[in-house]
Amino acid sequence: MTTTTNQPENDDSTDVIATRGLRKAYGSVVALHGLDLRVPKGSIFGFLGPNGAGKTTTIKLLLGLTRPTSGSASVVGHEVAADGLLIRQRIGYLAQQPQFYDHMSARETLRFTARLFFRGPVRAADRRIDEMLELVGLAGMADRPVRGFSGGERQRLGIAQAQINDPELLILDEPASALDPVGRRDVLEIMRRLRDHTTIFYSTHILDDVERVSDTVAILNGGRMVAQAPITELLHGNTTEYALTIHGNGDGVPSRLRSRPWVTTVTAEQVGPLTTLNVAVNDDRAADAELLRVVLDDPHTTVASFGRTRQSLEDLFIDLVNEGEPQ
Amino acid sequence: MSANPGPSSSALAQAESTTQHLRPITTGGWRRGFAPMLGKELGQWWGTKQWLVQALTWLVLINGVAALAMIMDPSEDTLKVFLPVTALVTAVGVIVTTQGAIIGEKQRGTAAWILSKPVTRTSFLLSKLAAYGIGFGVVALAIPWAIFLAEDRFIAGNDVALLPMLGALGLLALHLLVYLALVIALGTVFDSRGPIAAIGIGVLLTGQFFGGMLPIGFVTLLPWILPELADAVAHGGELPASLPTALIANGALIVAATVTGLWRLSRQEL
Repeated sequence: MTTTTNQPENDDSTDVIATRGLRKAYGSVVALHGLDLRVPKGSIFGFLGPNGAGKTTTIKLLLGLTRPTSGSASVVGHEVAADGLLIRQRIGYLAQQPQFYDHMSARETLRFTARLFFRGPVRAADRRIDEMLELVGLAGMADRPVRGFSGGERQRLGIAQAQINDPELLILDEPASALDPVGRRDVLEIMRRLRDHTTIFYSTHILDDVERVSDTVAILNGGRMVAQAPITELLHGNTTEYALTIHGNGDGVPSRLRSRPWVTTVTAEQVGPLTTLNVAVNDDRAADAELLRVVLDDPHTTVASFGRTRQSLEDLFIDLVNEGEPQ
Repeated sequence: MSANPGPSSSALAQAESTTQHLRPITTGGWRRGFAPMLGKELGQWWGTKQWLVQALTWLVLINGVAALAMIMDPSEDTLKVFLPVTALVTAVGVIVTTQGAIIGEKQRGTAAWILSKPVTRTSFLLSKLAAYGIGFGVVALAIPWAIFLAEDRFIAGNDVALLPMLGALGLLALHLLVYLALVIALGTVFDSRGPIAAIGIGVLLTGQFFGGMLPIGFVTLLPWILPELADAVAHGGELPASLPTALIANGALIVAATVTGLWRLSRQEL
């Protein structure tokens, strides 16, 4: 399988995160091998990888919670090593297992967080807090101590505190991984609501979530980046495949297709009265314009179905991760 | 959440307009985040029942013992009981109560949360030092001290001179701060509570049991001398000659412990 990587242009003005050879080693264990990551402004960027791939390490490096062994990173246009405070002023962060002060209520937690960012009338701060509580659906339990919150409620409070400063960039570490299906759906829904307001960079190993909300994806495995691209591009890869189902055995159709320069491979499989043809092409436009016409050139051929095939993210992920595994 | 699915995207638009009324804090520097952090730490002391539990504990331990001594032998110099007992139990209290101040936050993950916000590590540590210093200063020193003055007057019938007693209180506060700074600094060095308590209690008990055997010049540089000096100051008269050296040396210990803690915390991976 060919790894599809699409490194965006080196244009920092459109990247909210840019890392250059970012490496982190703990003694002899290398958690991150020279990561070059670019997160475009305005994207919902899924940072994918199996457990232990280095996702949380990367996030902690971006936040300045740990120091890189070598390499550098910039976030919202500032160097992490030099301008940590400026960066943290402009971003929001949700930890994998968000922890707060148990004696505080959700409202007090948000009030405390707001004071780290803002000065101004208490009433304005309280309004902002009410809006955040409403955003994450915690308005009804705003004054209960956090110690009684479920995992999902903590996660939602985590999103509220991460969003309190109206950040340019939200960094969410596995925001839905510990939640039940309803909690997951709710968190993804909040992310969708936030997409017009901020760039979201989130790590996950739940592929379904990525397909549902992300527009760009990077896949990390064993501390190495194995792919980075817009999700549609990643799923289609360098070659596009079309699936056709025709009546009959389709004699002559594969050979006619193979004669076209934009067709790379054709496979045919007959099941009962129908034959399924899988056609891989290297020129989408030519294929869109001509493929069906080539098939229908034969007046005896009738087409039952026709369409592009889409590789699932799960297939791609497993392929990419397995490629990196030692044989 | 399902029952209350949250707002439409209009809530976000509203939220953006609200932030326009709030002014972002733009100042940087090492103090960034200190005021809200101190407010949070003080809130933990005074906004919960913690202060009441602590105050009652100190009342029983310090004033109870002093009252007992006064009742048993009214002619006894009760300062000889009050000052060493206060110094010993408040130091133990500080060590036991504060050993988790930094480690607890590291282990729970709240330190990583706070430090992902615009808060410096200096503010994080100093706010704890300040809040614990104020908290202990009030509930373990000032309140028992005020009650002791009343006890001494109404039970033992002594007329206590306020100024020397204030001087003694200051020396006890310094004693407490040395142990507080030590324990906070140790919290940045170790990842479990055991070594912190062991070192803190070890230092305290070494002074209690072996301080008398060590050269006085050496003891003067350490907090062990402070209860003795507090006793001398509380009794009025000429100030002890070793007082300035002890003040400077113990002040330097607090600064050294704090600087070490700040340095360690600045290198900590969270």
